Amino acid sequence: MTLHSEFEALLHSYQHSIAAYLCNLLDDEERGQELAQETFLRAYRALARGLRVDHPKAWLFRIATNVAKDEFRRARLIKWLPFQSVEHEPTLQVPDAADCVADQLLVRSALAQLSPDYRVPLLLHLGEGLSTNEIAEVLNISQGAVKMRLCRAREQFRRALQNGAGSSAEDERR
Amino acid sequence: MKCKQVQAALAIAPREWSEAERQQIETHLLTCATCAAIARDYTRQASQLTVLPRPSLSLAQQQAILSQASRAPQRLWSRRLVSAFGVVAGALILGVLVMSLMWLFNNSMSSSPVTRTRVLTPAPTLTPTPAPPTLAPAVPPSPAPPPTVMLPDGTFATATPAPINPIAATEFAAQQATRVSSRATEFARAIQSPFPTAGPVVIHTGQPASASVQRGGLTFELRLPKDIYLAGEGGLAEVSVTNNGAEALFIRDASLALLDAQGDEPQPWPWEPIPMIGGLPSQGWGSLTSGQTLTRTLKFQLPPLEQTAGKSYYLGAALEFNRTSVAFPESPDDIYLRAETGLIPLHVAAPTAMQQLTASLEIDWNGWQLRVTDADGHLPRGPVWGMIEALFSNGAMSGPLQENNDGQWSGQWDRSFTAPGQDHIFVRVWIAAPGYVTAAVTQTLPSDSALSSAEINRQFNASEPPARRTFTSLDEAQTRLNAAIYHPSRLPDGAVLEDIVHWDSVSYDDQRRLNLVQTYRLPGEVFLTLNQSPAEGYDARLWGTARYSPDAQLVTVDSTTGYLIQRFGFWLLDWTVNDHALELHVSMSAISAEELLRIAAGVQPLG
Repeated sequence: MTLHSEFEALLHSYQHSIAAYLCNLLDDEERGQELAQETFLRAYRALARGLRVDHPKAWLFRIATNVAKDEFRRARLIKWLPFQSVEHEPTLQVPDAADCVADQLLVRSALAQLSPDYRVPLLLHLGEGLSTNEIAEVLNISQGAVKMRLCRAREQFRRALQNGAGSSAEDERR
Repeated sequence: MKCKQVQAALAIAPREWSEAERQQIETHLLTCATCAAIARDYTRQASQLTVLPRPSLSLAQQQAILSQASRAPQRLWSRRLVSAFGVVAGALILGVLVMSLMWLFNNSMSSSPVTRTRVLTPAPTLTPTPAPPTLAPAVPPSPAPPPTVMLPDGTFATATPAPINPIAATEFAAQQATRVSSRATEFARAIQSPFPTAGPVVIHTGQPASASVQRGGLTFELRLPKDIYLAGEGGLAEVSVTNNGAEALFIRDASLALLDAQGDEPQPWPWEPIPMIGGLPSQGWGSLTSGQTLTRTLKFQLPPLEQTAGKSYYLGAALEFNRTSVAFPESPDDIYLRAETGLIPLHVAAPTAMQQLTASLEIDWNGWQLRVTDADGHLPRGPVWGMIEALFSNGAMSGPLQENNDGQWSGQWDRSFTAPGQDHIFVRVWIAAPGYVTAAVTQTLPSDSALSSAEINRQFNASEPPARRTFTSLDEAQTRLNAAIYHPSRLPDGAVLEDIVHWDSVSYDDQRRLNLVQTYRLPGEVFLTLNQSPAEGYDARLWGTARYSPDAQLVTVDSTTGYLIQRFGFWLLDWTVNDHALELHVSMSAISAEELLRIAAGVQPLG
């Protein structure tokens, strides 16, 4: 297989997962897609330098995570929390599905409250289906450390969801 | 197993449990209500994450990656290049053949003379201001107008469908044959009847003022309550889009464009919004069925008096929309069509001291309070809107100030931002109302940090803006930048080089990039700019606005292909020479398409 066809196969196999992961990690669809492109370009350059990759999935997610970390550093912003709720209308992705939009906002808001250290393993494990072993390879940490982060991430995510749902219910009562 | 161990195990997907762990966990959950509740919540988490969007890269984005990859230094992968070349070349040849046939077909169907410089979107036409100002009669409803062409002499004629932009088309030609077929169908359909190009724009000045345009069955209108604004005043504009056609459309976005006479946007004032990850929630548009109208209110901001002196400003609106996907009729395709309303000229008046809003902001470690008054200490008249942004050492908050009746707002910081260890808060607020100069105020904690407003605003910048360097001559620029500089050698008589600016930027792979902007003053106070960048970015869509527009007209620039579009009455022509991407920008009222192409053909390396 040539380098180009090998790369094209990688691109077609993983572009969806990488794009979705970055979009949700950054909570920004457009920027996530841009960084997904950057991820694959970095991957290509590494392959062109002759790098041999045994586990392309974990390798691509590692590049994507590093690209996202650069973005976090660049933007200096760890969280975004709106001061006040802003009226939302159905978007192109979920037309005429107000409930789904509300759920999505709740989940996005809860995710935004997690630091990248916890958001990354949570999205990789639950969102993209990576095993703790694969996440350890992505993050270059031990499997035990991954489990510990996941444990904290899920607990924080659970509380954030509960708080968000509680606020929504309170708003409705008003 | 104890609760702590069970909860740690529950955090991991059950597929990773051993059989022994599974049995112990299940046994524990039968007797422990706390862990059972956590287990239920964790199970729900996985499904809750499925509501998040899962966008893919579009075929165009994938092809851009492949194109960019193909341009990697050959020495790095020359051993594999030869074999890879066969695959890529075959796909490209197939794509070019397909598109050439479609191109020939389109042109052979033409019943009117077609030149490579024709312009399919007519120039804006400005109707005289009625006196006294009244709302001009509404444009009578009419069926979708036939495609129109502005011929080089300025007259209009019925057009044939626009030729397919082969570069955009070849983006997908390298994809699998089935994808090519589907995408080619969508591309060809998107730019052909009933959406060939936008019709003439209609502009009414006065109070109220409006501008509108039709594209196919779509009518897009911008409405302003007035066209006289104070320097520094914020404005509210209503945009509406009506689908008079038979098929459903998808409205992607509508935006306002405030431009000066040179087509440049003024510097953001009072400041550039904080670059939030995820951004503020957008005004979702969505699908627009036949007969339906969607209306939104958008905001804009005039620059302050010190920036507006001697300048003219114009406001227009642009719409991006999609037709339905061929394969998935309930979803939009990924070809973004555009309509522009044309520009409403704004009269900018100097404000008096009585027209200045006053904002007083108080902050502490718990929250903030804001009060806004006019010069007399009263509530400002009319709707009031604004934005508050706060920067902490571990994050930021941002949000609009909702309209209220007492001119007072207050709120709390998120506790995670003000936990022990957080040592500062920077806050800034702007607030606007019709008939007043927008007020802007900043505060910091600790309050004795003695930072000026400008220094506080710098704290909000995520990164330093690119360094700006100016040169007094092209020779100096070439010497100092150590790069080949292109310049226009065939400008109209009397053209003068106004300035040369280089924006220093670094690409993601740490390559320093050349971004040179030459501005020439032509007779009649018209400015022409020539932008020069590396062609590598041209392939990665960092450059080449016209090249990737489905409305781009193909032109020949000195035997290479160029792409010509118009944006709010300005030509935008881009093409490449060797490894340089070049772009010319100039007012359509000053330079014809033919003249522009002559100028472009004369762009050459400095001797």
